Amino acid sequence: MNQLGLNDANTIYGLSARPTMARHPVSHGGCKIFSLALSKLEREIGENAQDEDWRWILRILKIYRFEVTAAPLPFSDKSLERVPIEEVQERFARSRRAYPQFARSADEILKLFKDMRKCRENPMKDLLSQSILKQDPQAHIGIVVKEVRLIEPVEQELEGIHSDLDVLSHTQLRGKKCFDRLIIIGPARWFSSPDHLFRSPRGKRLELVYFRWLADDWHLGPAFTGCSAPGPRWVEEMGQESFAGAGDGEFIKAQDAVPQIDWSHLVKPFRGLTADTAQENVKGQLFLLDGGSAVFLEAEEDATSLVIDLEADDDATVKRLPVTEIHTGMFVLLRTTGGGDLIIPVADRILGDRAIPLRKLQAEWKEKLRSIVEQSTYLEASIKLLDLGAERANETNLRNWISPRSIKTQDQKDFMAMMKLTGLEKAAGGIWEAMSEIDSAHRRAGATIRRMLMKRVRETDLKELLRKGQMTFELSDEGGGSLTAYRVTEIAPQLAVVPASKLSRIFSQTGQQWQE
Amino acid sequence: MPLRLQESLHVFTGSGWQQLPAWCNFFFELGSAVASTRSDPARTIVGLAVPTRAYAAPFVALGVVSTHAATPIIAEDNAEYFEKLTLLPRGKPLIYIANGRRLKGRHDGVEGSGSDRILRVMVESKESGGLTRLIQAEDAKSIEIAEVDDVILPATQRGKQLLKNQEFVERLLPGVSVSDFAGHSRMECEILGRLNILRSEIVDTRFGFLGKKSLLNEGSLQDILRARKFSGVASAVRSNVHRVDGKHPPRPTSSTEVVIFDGAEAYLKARSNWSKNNAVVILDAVEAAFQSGADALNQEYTTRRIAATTPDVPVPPPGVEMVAYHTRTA
Repeated sequence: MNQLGLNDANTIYGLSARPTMARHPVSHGGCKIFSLALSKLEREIGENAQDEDWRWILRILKIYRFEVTAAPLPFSDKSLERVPIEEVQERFARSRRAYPQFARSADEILKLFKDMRKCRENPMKDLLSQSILKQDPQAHIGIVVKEVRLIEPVEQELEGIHSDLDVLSHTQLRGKKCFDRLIIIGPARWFSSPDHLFRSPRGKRLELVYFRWLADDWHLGPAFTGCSAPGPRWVEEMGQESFAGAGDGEFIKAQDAVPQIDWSHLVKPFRGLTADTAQENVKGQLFLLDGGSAVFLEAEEDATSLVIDLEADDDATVKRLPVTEIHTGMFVLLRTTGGGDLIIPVADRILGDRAIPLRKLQAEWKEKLRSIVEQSTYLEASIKLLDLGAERANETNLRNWISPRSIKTQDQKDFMAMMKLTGLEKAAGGIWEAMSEIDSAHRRAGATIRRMLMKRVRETDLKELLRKGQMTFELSDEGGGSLTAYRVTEIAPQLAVVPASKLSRIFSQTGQQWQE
Repeated sequence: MPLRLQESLHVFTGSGWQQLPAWCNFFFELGSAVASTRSDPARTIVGLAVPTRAYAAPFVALGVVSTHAATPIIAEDNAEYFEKLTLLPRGKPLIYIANGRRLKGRHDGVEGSGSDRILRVMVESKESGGLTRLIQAEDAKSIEIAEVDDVILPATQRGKQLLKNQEFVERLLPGVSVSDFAGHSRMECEILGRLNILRSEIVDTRFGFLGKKSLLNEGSLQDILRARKFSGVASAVRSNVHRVDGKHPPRPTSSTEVVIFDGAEAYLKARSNWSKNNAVVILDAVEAAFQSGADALNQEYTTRRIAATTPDVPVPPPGVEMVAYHTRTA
């Protein structure tokens, strides 16, 4: 939420008073046949869609179908090519062999898909370049695309057609920047949650360009139950209908054309990893990030993560937040390479020569504790610790104390009990002090990183962060490397148990590829 | 006749002075309407979905503060009030008002007995001689009880000027004794939101009235709102502004009737602490928590609304959605 002057606010009130909307449905025979055939195939396959190959095929084809309808790009554009065609063919061949009853439909959709991938047309692009953008050469025009990753290709495609043109995502239309015309690529339903594009429009005239076979039944409703005054009173006009000819009554609901997030499938690869007893498993919250990546952040009690919150007060833009309080639109900050938390290398730099012996000591007592627990159970070991004077020993806390991510206990009695259990009682005082030194260095490192980031954020033009949904901040002065901010687009409805080693590591939503 | 801001107030926008936009007047009138109702036994709740939150909360607050500006603050008679002052513990921070200035002071005991008693108010540090004012019962209203726990007295003190922009305040509060208004504190409303933005709107934005020969009586909304957060210790206050922290959401000052939630985050995090106040909830359509804020307000409307009565509130400008209802005071 940017700060607005009274003049800016007045402009925005003016735009909300009586906005105009026009609809420009477009048609393309090949695209429509491919799209409907894909829906038909999905219905035919039914429960077999759980098969790994079918799941993969459907996901890839649905993403393609969505993206060709979400950007005015030629269907053959390279940026729409998520995977090589050979891989798609191979998956089809395997599915065909395993499910011969669907062979005919599979052959049909594969042929349609290949035809689409060779087709240089897109009626939305033609409508924009031949008509809409030609109408008003002086107007300041914004083109809104749903997928952030498609902004650049669309910019390149439309370059030179209009002199005052911005391509942007709807998340960028929350500040003071306003347009004469906003051309929205896709049906209104795609931009209905959040609905600020319509509830507080940043254009005098909104024009929806979308494929006719996408059924768009969404209209802006009242914000409040018992509303005594309505919001923007939209005046709807039918815009220019181009390339008409379809309209045979076959539709796909607009919301069904957006690939759904299969949370259980995203989590599945991690479930297998948790079976490894050598792994430390923790609760993780899965976040989807702009640009098609995802990340698990630790969601154990008191777990926090560094975020950029552009809606917070200036001095709280960069902050550590409990992971449960992170919401969509915020930016999570992750190490650009290597994963894990940046605090450790920065803390080690603060510790200087002391880092190696202190870390060694930390690893040693934890290893001793781990081996004792492995000889019995977490429950038995917790009971022993209680007998030795611990106050908060239980299975959950003991797992945490063993974890390399924890440094020392809050209560010294718990720590001393662990020292007794591991036979380190005589050295306990020294080890406690050593751990306190590491703890102190971590706190200083946290403050240093936040301070550095605040400085970098203040120095940076955040328009790019808003536009692209991610940005890297170099912190090399502090020996910390760099952090990349990623905008959170979706949050999994449930927590998952994942190996601790996989926390804070970016992976691809489509291929579960780790970014190392 | 209520003041119509838009007809007279101007704002400096960088490119010059411009007439105040009409929608500002709605927020001002809304604040005035909400301030005109008591929060007991039924609270007034007004939810607003606005295209932008900019300046909405300050103008609602302006309506609230200006509505009660003419109401005398010290209702007790001099003798009663003086008695109260004499019973305060020695050392209690006080404000001494004299010659158009407010001075920090400290209760320094009572001299004499019966009707001849005199209250001692020290206004300069002991080290510098401990200059002390002697207050008789008939002058009791020149003393205000400071809402701070401690005060450091300076070696010399001129005091804080009661009014910086007197003509501006007089134009905005016609018929109000501005020296009384600026001389005494009463918390009328509190705004919960983002401090840096509210400071810019309340303190830094220049407003003015066209005066003789086109000169302007200039001032800021802070001249009327007198928000404690943006004032010194010795200033008389009429409102306050709080940042909303998820862990320690602010609580109301005892006398506050009206709370203004400037944004969904403020409402969601702090509303349970303000369940006895009239409330104006401003939800910005572009903020991330907009829908959660609207859902919470709708939930309250559905479960707690008193259906028999409806608050008397002005009609909002186009583009603003509004819900207004009464609930029982929790």
